[in-house]
Amino acid sequence: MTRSDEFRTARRRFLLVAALAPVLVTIVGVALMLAWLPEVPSTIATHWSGGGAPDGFAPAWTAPLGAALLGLGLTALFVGIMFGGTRDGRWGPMMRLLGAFSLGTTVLLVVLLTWSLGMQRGLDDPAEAPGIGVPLLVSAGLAVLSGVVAWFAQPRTTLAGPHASESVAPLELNPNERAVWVRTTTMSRAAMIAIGAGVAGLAIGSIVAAAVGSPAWWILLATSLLLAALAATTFVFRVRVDERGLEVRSSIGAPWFRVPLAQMRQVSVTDVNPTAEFGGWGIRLAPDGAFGVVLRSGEALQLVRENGRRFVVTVDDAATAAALLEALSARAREARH
Amino acid sequence: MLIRVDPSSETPIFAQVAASVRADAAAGRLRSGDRLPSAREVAASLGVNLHTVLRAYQLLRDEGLVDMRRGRGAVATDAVEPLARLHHDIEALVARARTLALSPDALAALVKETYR
Repeated sequence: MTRSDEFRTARRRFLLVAALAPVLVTIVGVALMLAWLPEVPSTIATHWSGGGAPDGFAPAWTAPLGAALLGLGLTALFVGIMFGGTRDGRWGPMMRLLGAFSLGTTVLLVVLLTWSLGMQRGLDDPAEAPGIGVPLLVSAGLAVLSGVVAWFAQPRTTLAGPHASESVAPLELNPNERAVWVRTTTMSRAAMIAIGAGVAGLAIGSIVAAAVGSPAWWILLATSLLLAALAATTFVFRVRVDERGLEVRSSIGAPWFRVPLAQMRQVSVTDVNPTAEFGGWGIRLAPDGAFGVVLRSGEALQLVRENGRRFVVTVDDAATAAALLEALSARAREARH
Repeated sequence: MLIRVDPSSETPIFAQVAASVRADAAAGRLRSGDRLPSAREVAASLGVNLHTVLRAYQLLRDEGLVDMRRGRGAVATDAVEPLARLHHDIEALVARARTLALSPDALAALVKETYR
């Protein structure tokens, strides 16, 4: 199978499980709800307290509308992420996970909404609606199950970029020579804006929540402050290579990640596609166990550790860093023998 | 940027550090506005004395290649840009000198003489 065949197969399966299946689930759920509308009270329970009794109500027609918007909207979002992230013909396990996640999320929401409406058929007063515990458990179970099925229904395809990882020749070092390579790597502006907008949206949400008197506003505010602080630590990193190995440290001082020379099995320069390989930007763990400090797409330094896992950091001039690591590793190996 | 020193060389360590930074500028690895690694970090990585690195940075400041600011450390100035523009010419000249078996010192002396 050629490369583009593999890519097309992977994308077709993704569209099957992450677009077609969720849309069908949504259509069935919405059709059921519309059919049941005449049998439910005109105002239905839509929210349940921790104790199990309904404590939030809305007009009945909002349930099918909400299910349709959420089901189709989320599916469109996930499909959009897939198309946007794989334009360069790359594919990875992260896409497989995204497809599984797309189906699971829609199943959870649509089953739960449909069930919560269906169980209110024949009621006169929505306050008498039964508890939501069982529907929640069952729809969560179905969501996990459909997610697992969606994962295995997709092929295990990994397609590297046009520049697959390349090893580099070691830097020429005299026996006594010492060297250090240092570089600052900064998150791409687009990713910074996206993260900033997300945090700002949450902060606005907490202000709205406070304005309408919801007690949850301080939780939202605390979460947005925490997220803002975490995001700020991942915008700029200093990458350093010396005789101790590799260190990647946030410009704020923490967090930091180190790989000692003795733990490096292989060093190379690669080309990172954040969405396909890591599912986004920042400090990422990929489904295949690869760890990445992914601040932008493009040139990156890649190490394979002794345990076979990859450590990737996106940084300019990665070839010089790799060449120095090769030279220092070779010297360390010689010294051990 | 890449900084390398060879303690067995006759050139003083501080001059080697400064030469590395100049080479980084020439190779385009150090651009105007880039922050140099802190002297403490470089000293720890290379296993040399902190004052040796500081002396190198002071030399580069005297040459106008870096700006030393309290709190911000050493920052490359606009003066590094012309070095990057000469990069290809220097590489070509060195390659030519090598084929002619001209020593680095002889080449440097010739360049200095011509510049006068």
